Amino acid sequence: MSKRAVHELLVVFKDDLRQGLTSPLTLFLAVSYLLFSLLITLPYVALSRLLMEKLATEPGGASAAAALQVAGTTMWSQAFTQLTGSPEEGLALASVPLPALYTFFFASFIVPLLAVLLSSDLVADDLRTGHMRYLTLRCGRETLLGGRLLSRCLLLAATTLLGTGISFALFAVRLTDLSPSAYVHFLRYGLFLAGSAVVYAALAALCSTLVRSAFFALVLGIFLLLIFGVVDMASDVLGWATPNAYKLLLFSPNRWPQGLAAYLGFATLYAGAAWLRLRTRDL
Amino acid sequence: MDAGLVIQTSGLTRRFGSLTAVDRVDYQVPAGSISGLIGPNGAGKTTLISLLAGFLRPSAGTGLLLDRPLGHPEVRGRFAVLPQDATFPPRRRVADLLALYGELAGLSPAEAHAAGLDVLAAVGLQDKARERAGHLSHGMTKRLGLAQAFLGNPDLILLDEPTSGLDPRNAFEIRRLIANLKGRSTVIVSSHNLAELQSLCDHATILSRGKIVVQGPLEEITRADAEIRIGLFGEAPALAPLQSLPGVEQVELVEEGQVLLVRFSSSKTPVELGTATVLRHLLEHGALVTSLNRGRSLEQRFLELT
Repeated sequence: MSKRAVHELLVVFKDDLRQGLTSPLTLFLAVSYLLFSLLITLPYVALSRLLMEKLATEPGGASAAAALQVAGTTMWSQAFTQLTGSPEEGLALASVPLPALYTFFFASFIVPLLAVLLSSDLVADDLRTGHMRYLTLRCGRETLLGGRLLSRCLLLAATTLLGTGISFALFAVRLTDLSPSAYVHFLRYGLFLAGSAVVYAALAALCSTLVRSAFFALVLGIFLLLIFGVVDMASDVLGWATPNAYKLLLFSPNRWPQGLAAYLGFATLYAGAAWLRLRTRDL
Repeated sequence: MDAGLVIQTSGLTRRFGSLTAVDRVDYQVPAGSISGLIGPNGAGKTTLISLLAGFLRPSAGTGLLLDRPLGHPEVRGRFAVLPQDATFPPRRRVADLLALYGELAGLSPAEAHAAGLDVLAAVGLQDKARERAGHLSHGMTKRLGLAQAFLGNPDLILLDEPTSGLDPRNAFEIRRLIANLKGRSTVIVSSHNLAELQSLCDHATILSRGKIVVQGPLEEITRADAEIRIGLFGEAPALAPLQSLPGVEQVELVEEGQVLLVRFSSSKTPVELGTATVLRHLLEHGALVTSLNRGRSLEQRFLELT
C-alpha cells in the first residue's frame, strides 16, 4: 500500500468517524443498542434475584439452591448436547455461566441488524447524489471504501463492547453468585459480537456498492439477513454458506477458533466483493 | 503522448447497452488552452468528460491525461472536474467539505482549511463557509462546485455545463472566473451557450452523435484566420478590383448582397493586413460599411457541421 493510499485511508477514516459520532441516526442506533442490552439483562437479573431471595428465606433454601444449580447444569448440558449433537460440546457449553450465554444469544440476533443499519449508507448515498465523483477525484475508490468500513467497524465494535459491558456490569453488581470465569466469557463473547458486527458491516458495504440509494441498500441488507436465517434453518448443507451457521461455534468454549476463522472468511469475502464492485462500477 | 497535449485519446468508446455514447473518439487538448466542448444534447459531452475523469470505464480505446493513462492514481489531485449534476451532502458545512477535499489531495488540515477559504473567497462565497451545503441556492452550489475545482490549483480543470441554469449575473461571474484561469490551468468547458464559448475559448471540439466532427484552434474552426464578413449598406461594390487586392483569394456577395465575404490566402497575407487593405479600398470607393466580423460565429459553424 502506497504512502498516499495510507494518507487517503486515514483522512477518510477520520472524516467518517467524525461524521458518525455527530450523526443523529448513528447516536440513536448506538443508544438503542445499549438500551436493548439493558432491557435483555434486567428481566434475567430480576428473576434470579427473586429466586435467590425466595430460596434464602425458606427453610433449607441453601441446600435447595445447590440442588437447583446441579439440576440446572444437568438440564443445560442435555439441552446443549441435543443442540450440538456432541456430549462433550454440551458439557463444555453448560460450563459457561448462563448470564454470558444468555446475553450473547440475544445480542447475536440484533447485532447483524445494527451493523446493516449503521453501514448501508457507506457509499450508496454518495453514488446517488454524485458526491462520490468529487471524492474520487482526490481519493482512490478502494481507500474510500476501506476507510469508511474501518470507521463503521470501530463504531460497531465500540457499541457492542459497551453493550456487553453494561450487561456484565449489571450481572456483576446484582448477582452475587456470578462465577469468576464469567469475566473471561463476557469478554470473549463481547469480542465475538464485535467481530460478527464486522462481518455484517462488510455485507452492508457490499449492498451499498450494488445500488444507488442508502434506503435500497438497507432493504437489500435486511432481505439478505432474512434469507440467511431461513436458509440456515431450512437446509443443513446450504446453511453453511451463511455466517449464521457458524454462530454456534462462537458459543463453544472449545470450537470458537473455527467459528472465528469462518467469520473472518465471510468478512473478507463480503469486503472483497464490495471492493471489486466499487472498483469496476460507473460512478 | 504528443508534447504540449494534456489530453490525448485514441479510439475512446463507451457503450450503454445498444447505445454508443462516445464512438472511437481521438480527442486532443493542448496545454494551457481554454477548450470548448460543443455538441447538441446527447452528443456525448458529459460521457466524454466522465471517461476522462475516470467516473466511467471505457468500453474500448485508450487515453492519456496529464501524461498518464486514464484513471491512473498519480494524476489524482492534479486535475479537477465540475460534474454536471453532482451535489454535495446537504448536512456537511461548506468549509468542512473543502477542507476534506484539500486533505485528500495531500494538504495538511491547516493548509486544507486555509486553501478552502481562499477558493471560497475566489468564487464569492466567503460568507457561506459555515453554511450547510444543503442550504445553498442553485447558483451558490454551482459556485461551490467551481470552488472545489479550483482547490489546489490543478493543472487541468474540466467543467461540464458550468453556467447551465444560472441567472445572467451568476453566469457572467462564472465566465469571469473561468477566463481568469487562462495561463494558470488548462480548462475544458462544455456548454450549449456558443456565444459564451466563443468569448472564452481559444480551442474547441465539436461532437455529434458521439463522434468528433471537428477539433482545433477556435480561429481555424470559425475561419477567423482566413475570412472576414463586411456588412454593406446601399449599392454593392465591384468585385473584380477587390479580387485583385494582395492576399485576397476569393470575394463574394452573400445574404442578398448585404454582406461581402472575403477569403484570404492566409499563407501569403496575415488576415489583419488583408482586412485593412480591403476596408481602405471599399471606403476609398464610397462603400457604406455597417459591420465587420472575422470568420463566422461559432453558432454558424456548429450549425453547418452538425
